[in-house]
Amino acid sequence: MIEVESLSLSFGSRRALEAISFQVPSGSVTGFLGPNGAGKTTTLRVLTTWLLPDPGTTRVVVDGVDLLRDPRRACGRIGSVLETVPLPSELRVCEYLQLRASLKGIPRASISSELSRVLQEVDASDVGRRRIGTLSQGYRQRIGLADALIGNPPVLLLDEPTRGLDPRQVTHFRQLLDRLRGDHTILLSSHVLGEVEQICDRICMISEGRICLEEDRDAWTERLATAGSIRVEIAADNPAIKSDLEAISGVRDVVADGSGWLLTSDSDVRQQIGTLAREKDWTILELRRDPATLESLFLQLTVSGVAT
Amino acid sequence: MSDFINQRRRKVRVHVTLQLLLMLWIVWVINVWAFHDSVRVDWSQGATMEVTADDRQLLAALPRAVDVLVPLDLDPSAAGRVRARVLTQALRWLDELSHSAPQSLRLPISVDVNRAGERWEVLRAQRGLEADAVNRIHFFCGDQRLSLDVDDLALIREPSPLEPEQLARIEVDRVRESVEAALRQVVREQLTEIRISQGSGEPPLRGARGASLVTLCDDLEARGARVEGVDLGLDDGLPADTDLLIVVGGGVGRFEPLRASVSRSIDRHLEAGGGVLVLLPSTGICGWEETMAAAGISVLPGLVAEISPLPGGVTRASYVVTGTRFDPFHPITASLARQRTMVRFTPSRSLQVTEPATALLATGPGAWLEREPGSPRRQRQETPAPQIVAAAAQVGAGRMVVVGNWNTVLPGSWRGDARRFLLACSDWASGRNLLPAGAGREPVSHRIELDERLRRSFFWTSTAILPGCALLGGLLVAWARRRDS
Amino acid sequence: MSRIISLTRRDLLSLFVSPVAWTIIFVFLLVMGLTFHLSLLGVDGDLRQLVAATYGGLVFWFMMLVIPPLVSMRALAEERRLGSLEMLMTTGVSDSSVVFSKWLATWVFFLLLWICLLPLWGLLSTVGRVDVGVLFSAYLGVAMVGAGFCATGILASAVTSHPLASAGLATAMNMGLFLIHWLRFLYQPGDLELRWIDHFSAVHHLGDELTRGIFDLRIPIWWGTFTILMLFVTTKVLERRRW
Repeated sequence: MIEVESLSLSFGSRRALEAISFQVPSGSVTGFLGPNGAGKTTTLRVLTTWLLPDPGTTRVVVDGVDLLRDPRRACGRIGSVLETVPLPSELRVCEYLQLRASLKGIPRASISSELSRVLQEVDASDVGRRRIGTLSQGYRQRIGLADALIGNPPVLLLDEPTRGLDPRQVTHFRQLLDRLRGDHTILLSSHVLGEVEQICDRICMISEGRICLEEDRDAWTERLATAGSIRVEIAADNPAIKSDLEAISGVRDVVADGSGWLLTSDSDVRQQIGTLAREKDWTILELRRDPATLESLFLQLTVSGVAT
Repeated sequence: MSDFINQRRRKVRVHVTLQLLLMLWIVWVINVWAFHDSVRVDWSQGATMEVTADDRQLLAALPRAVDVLVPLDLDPSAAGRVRARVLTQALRWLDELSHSAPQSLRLPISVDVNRAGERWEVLRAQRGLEADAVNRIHFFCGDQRLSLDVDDLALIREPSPLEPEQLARIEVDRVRESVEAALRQVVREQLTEIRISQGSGEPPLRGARGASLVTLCDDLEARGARVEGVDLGLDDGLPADTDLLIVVGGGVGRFEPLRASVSRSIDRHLEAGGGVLVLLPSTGICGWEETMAAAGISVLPGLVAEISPLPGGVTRASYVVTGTRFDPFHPITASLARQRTMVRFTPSRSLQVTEPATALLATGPGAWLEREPGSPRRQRQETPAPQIVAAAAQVGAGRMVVVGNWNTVLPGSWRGDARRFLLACSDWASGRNLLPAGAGREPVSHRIELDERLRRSFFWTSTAILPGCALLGGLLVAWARRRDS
Repeated sequence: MSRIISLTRRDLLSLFVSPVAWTIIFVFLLVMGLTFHLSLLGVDGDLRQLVAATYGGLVFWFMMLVIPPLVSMRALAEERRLGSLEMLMTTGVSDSSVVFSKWLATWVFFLLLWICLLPLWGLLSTVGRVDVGVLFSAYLGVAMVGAGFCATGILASAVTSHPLASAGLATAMNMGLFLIHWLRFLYQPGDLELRWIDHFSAVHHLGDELTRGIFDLRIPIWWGTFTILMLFVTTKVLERRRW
């Protein structure tokens, strides 16, 4: 479990994080979304103990360990994949992972079995003897992930882990996360919204250093369900149609969309439109509901910065 | 909680500042302790710079602080370089000694008289040194002054004009012994009193450099003595505080033996442990014959002649004789006997010794005694044999040394082996023993012969093979890592 | 301890599998080999003087001043620039072990360079008598002075994230240490202050003492305490992100 409360951080005079608070429940996969420069990586860097938060920060707890008071113990519970995956290109994969394993305190005797386990997990057993410099971006990403998995840490912080992976590898990664789900608390920062939608149990959106949305899967599905638009095309040339449509309760806005109208409403008003068409004797050519997507939600929240 | 970060930040800042200060303090204290109380070891072969317990004892026993000044005026020739090396080594040794007892022996001050002329002038005026007192080690203790020449510090083989100059080398290194003796000597409250007696024809003690004994006097004074003249013909006897009487020539114009009162004072002087060094006149008697006879030394009439080589392979019989055979057991000559030392006399008397005297120095086997000096020519009946040219004897508590000729002490001849020999004689006779005779060691040589083959092979090894190995190593590693990755 | 060994091994491995190390060794051996040869001719085959000539000349000091910064600039500055320092420091390894192992790797590499010159002494020992005591003390000197120079290199590497800036800073700091010797000119021969200058002077330690076989306990004490001080300050510099 990760608990963050009033986490603030400034770089000089620039406030990177403005007292953000969020939670990542144990065993869940939480997507951490936000535009570039919103503070995702900064938050992850605080969680890896690389950056020290500002004095206003109330609480940062990782797997029951207070990160502010005992950063070195907290380090032992976290596995992280950094955004850039800085790997020494001159070393072989096994040499590098061996070093990481010994740094993470894996007993010498069990290092080799641990290495084959993590390499198998990320499907990179075949590149153990290859020099890191000769690996493709996808493999480098996987080696970074393998490094994070060494020692089986309870918390995983993944910063854009699927960047540079081909679709097959992305699928594989998704399967891997499915396997890790439950045993590990995972915070996944990503731009690929579809992927987050598929993988994550929970999302947390950040914009300009503030959390603008933190919901679990049920809540956001509900939000998307209600936040869609309805398109209606009516075979009648009546200027009063717009005002009639606006009069339906729950409809927020009606705009012309080609030969039809696009309605934004708080709830599904298709039934009310049908009833109104019967009353007014309109011929409905099309009545379609366009559901909202995470992308539209992302755009809407990160542009307006509305906190819920 | 927000207090916690602030509090910790404040606390850490104070802690880190304190830690840094503490660390600096510890570093400072440890270094100060090491500065004042260190251990020095010489790991080189021979350990010539190792300060032993004896040296420490000597330094601890010095009653007053000793200053050392070394004016250097180095000569770029091969022999000059060797001399410079001796001086540098002596400076290093004094530095080592000063390290272990900086309060007793101050850091030696060296000054290059050519580069730092002004400073040299200041120091010279301060210490009352002569302008030519360079390439010497001057020790000062209160009003006392003592100087060591390069020849005191080492025996240097100087090549003759016919030999290549690279032959110059240190034969015996006795820097440590000389410095030790100088330290012992310079702190003595009392100077060694030396009286010099001359015949009426000999040059004066002081005065113009050409025909005086001024270099001899300077040398003796630089070694911690007070030198004064004494006229045994006029004075009633020898002053009671005399340590050593040097008789230079004598005899000329005074054929009569010593007066009874003088003779008695000489006997008393010898009984009291004093010394007499007689440098014989070239001809005639010197008036000391009786005293010498009592010591077992007699002077034969005539002069020693020898066949000496001239440039171009020619030889000529002359009165220039070279003393080469030193008594290897006598304290005066023990160290000289180990070197190829030669003392030249022009001319020399021949001595005969009986108990208790011993022959100090004799010529080579090709010399003979020319009884009636004229043009030297070896007669059939003359059998060449080594001729004794210097002898020494212990007379009761006193000591007597007789040397075949006096004119070595003239400024023109007062140098090299002859100077060293006569100084050793005077040291022994005065009982001061400034330089322990027989001391010193042959320096360990680490030189290799750089022939053409060695030069070539070393050049290629150092500039091609060794760097090539590194290059090859790099290529091998690169190849090995590429092969299986 | 095992972490320090692992980190040091990793740094040395990184050095030796990259062409950088071999290029440095090659250039070093080429330059020092030539210097060695010229010194041998200069001292006319005197092997004892050769120690002082080889481990005390201008080229020697150039190598002493330049090589540690060149090797140490990779240690923290480049890692910080590439981001791998973050990976390292967030594994739970203590800052002091990171600093110490980086210094150790730099120092070991630096010593290896000088050890590579020993075969030349081996060659000379087949034709003459090499004074092993003097050679040993000279190497001890190289090791001790090198330890200090490597430590300043690590400190410089910690305060900046630009490798070249770090190398420049370290060279400047080492130059400062080296130039202490020339404070002698402020005093007259015989002044006691000279003793203090000698206490801190690398040139004095190597040129006047160790290359002549004289070992003084002050030398390891000064360079040892200086190295520890530098590494301590470096650790504090790295820890700054925590306070």
